[in-house]
Amino acid sequence: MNVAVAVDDEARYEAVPSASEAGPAAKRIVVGYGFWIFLLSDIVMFSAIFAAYAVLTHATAGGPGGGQLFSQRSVALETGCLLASSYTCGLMSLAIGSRRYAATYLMALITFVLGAAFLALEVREFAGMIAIGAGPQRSAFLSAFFTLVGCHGLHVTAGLVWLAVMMAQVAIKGFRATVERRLLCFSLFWHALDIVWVWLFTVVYLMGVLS
Amino acid sequence: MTDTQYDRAPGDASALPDVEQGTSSGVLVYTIGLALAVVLTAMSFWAANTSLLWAGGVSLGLTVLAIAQMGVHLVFFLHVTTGPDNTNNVMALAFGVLIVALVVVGSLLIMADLNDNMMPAAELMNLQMQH
Amino acid sequence: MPVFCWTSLAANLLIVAAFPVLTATLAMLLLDRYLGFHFFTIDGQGNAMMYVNLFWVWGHPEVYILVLPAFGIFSEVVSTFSGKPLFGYRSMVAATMVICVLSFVVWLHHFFTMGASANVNGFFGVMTMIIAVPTGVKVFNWLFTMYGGRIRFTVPILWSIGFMVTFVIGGMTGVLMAVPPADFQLHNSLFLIAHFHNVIIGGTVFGLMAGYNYWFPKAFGFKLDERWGRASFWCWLIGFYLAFMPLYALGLMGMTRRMQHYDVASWQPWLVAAAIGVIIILAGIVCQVIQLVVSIRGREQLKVNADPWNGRTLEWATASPPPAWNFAVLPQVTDLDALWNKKQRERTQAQPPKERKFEPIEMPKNSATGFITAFFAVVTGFALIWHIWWMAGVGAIGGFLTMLAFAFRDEEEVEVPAEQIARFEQANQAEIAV
Repeated sequence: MNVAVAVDDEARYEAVPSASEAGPAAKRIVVGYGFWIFLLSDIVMFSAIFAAYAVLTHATAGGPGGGQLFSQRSVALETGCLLASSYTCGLMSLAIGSRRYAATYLMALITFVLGAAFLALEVREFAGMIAIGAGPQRSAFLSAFFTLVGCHGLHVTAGLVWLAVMMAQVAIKGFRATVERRLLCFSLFWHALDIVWVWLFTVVYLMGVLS
Repeated sequence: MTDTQYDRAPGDASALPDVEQGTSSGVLVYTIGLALAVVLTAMSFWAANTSLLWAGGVSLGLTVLAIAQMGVHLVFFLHVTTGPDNTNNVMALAFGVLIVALVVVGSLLIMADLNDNMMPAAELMNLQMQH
Repeated sequence: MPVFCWTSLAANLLIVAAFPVLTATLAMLLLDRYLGFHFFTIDGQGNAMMYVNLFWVWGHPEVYILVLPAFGIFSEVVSTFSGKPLFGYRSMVAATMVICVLSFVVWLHHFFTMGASANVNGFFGVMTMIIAVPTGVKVFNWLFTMYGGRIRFTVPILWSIGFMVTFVIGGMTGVLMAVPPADFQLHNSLFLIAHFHNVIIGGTVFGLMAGYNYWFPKAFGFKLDERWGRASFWCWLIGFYLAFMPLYALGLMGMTRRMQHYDVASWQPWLVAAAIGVIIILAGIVCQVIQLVVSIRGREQLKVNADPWNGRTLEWATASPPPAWNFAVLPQVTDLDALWNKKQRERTQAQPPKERKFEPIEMPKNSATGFITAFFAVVTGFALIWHIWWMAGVGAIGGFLTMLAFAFRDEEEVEVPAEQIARFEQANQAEIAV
């Protein structure tokens, strides 16, 4: 049986060699795709915690529920910060592509500040809830809430550390291929975190305050 | 080694078609994405707080808006499109979405069913997901 | 791709998709235990059933992660030692990918007795039966591959034939328990124990033994002793049946698992038979150790070239053991059983050997980072178990710093010069088939 290795879209790419002759894909594509698969696995992990949260939404053990605890103003601010940071991360990607150092550092700094602002708001929210006795040990609902939102926050924290390390790498090594590939992975990570946040604020906060 | 024309890495801004680096068209893509996302987010907040909508439909509406926001992020920020050079990325995403759906929906259905059958009669708290 | 590559791909897809659920579940359990959260406690309105549910969302794909690579090994071994191409390549690949997807919709069969309604139990029971079908397709394909072939009864093919009988029995008892009312009787009895040992030993363990004997010469340059290999196989096979078939009977007689002690007189003869079976399996393991020792001692006599089994796939075109770069020139693959077809072509059309031009090959640079990070991970894990918080912090920070140092290294690759490749090829000329 003859099974030739197929080309994605032969009609469009007639003039170029077949995928088999062209050899393995460029490292940038392989690395990006591999990181994309890792991100999807990370999202599966979030979905398991999400499922636990959804099951425990009403398990308040006589304690406060989402309606009593969530502040929409704080959530709107957090959402704004994260969305804006995704935008500035995109601008940073463009700056990296055209090798503009100053723009890269500037956009990275703004992204970092916005991400840090998001975290500060979230920490404030958590601290406030713990102070009034609505900490994760109060009920299953609160355990699930702190874990789900907290897991996202930990990912954002890790992202900020990563961003700082990447700027150090840009400063020391310049825009060489390995650094560019890692920055591509970072921007994938950062955008994916915003996607997770979309689901978080919709299901946890907005649906949580629906009466 | 130059990039082959068969696959594009997800999130690869430098592979945007016909876009010169740093020109306005690159920025335009991200700006449109931001604008759309802001509008959809504002709509979500409005839908959750207004009394103009039938309460039963608000959850569904919020879900639809969330899916739309995810789509905006995928297309405008992550450059995951339906072109032939993105097939692998879309396949991976589809597999991921399938698993997420199975885990979340499956767990919810099973837990609701278990709680229904296993809840002691004296228990007053309703552990079902339905509001 | 060869079927082993397909099954490895499917197994890795399952790993990527299923393990995150285990990560999340264990994290929630950890939070419950260490920080007093209430995911699974009755106190605080947690739900212990949710742990069971989430655990088995991982747990079922896990058993397919265990068995799919073994299926791939059998496909390679059976076609090689039958001297025939694998029967039904397309259906093999389709069956593998179908198993990959279906393995995510059966997990509730691990807790039929936890109290879900008949509809839910019934749905998962039906799906569990359906997932047996692609595996059945694979078994038929292996049988049809052997049919009409000239079978060489080497040690790997013995393990494969042993697998086919043993795994089918284990699979059938699984389908039996897929019927919820039957499972109500058999759950957590010795019948269940017998079933999963039947499929895991018959499937995964036998597959590992077959692969070990098949690929050892490629990895180390000399074969394993054939006689001790056969002895180990027969001990394992006879020992397995003697050890585990009685457990089916015991399960049907009502013996439950996980008891502190058993004092039902009528169970004793079966348990004694099982114990004897265990001893025979132990003899099989001893035979394998002896096999390895004898082979290493006699490695000069057991030395092999690139292709000791008259193989069909490309790994047999490299030297034994292969150089770090595997292939000096990347082979152009246009069909299945690439090596076999190449050998056929070379026999029928005697061509002068092509003058090959070698180019330098980029190889990843070695690093101790993985090993050192793993060391710190062990320190962290140990410290967390014993609540030694400062040590846990040291381990975590140490691991992170190691990774950071690795990220800042200047050279990521090492280039193997063309001359080195040419020298290796010349020195091993007689051995390499390509």
